[in-house]
Amino acid sequence: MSKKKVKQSDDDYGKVNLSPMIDCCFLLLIFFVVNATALTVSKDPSVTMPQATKPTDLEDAKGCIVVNVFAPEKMLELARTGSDKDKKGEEVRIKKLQESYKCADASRIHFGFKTGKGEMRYVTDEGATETIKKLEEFIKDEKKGLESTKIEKEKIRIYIRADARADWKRTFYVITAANNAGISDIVFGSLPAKK
Amino acid sequence: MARRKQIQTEEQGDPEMEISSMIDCCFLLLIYFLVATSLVSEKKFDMALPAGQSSASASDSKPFNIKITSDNAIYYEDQSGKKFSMGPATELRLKPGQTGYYEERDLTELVTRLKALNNDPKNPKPLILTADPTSKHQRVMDVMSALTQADIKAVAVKCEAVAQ
Repeated sequence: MSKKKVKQSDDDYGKVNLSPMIDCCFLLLIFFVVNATALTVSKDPSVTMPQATKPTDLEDAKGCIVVNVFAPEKMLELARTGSDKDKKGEEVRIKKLQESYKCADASRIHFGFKTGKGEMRYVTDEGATETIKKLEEFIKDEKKGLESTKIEKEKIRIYIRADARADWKRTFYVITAANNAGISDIVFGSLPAKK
Repeated sequence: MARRKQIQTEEQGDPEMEISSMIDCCFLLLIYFLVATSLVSEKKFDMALPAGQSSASASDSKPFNIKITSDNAIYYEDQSGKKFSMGPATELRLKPGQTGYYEERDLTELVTRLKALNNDPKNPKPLILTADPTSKHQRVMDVMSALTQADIKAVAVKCEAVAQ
């Protein structure tokens, strides 16, 4: 009889109820998963982001139509003439750019975006009129797609992720195309400046 | 006696779920997302373009012009017609081993002048930013940053020699 008692207390000893910890852990996990997907709107690593002294945080990425503006000529030039470290870095970037847009010639990829259906598309700079027309078509399609969801009309804006080395005219094409498509809210992506 | 023993062993052999591996996995995922979310956070500038609004009546006051040339120099002219320049224009080049640029990002003088301009929020002065098509996006961002610092959120952007 006394033996049984000892056995019972042995069993009870050291048992921790793990379920509240698991609940807590799952909640945290879900929070970070949602956060991560909301803020990483098709970030393209081939873009060297410009720096700014006092930018604000992007709190809500919903309703953002992301347009990447590339500077492929600068990337190719640096891959040819830069220091060894630059050369390697740019070569990797060019390869990634070509793979993600399924295009063998990186110098043709000036604008890139991911459509609502998850398709990666690019536009080549072929002069102002033609380029603006193509960009406008894409923005109008995306706008229509967003309007069919629950997103408020005022929240629909253009998020320009332009390469710091890209010519201003390319950013201007995107702004003009957005304006033609009826969107006047423009968000410029940047990174905080290093001091 | 034999029966009792049998029952006892059955009780001892109750199915218990081994959850420690699941917790390990869960923690790993948690740590991954924790790190992934806190590492890179892109920032932004919000700008409302007057071109998107229905043609506002032209203001009588002379606009404040900011011009960026092809060599990335910044020129600006205040309302009295006085001209200023941010110089000397430096070339945009990558610093080895860095993804940024070594140019001065903070346009303190321009911010001071823009702040003086923006003294009346009810009647904002028109502001036109003209940039050469071949000027770099980074330089335009520098000016945009200066505008944000001066609390100006509406600007007219122009691009020289681009047909619309």
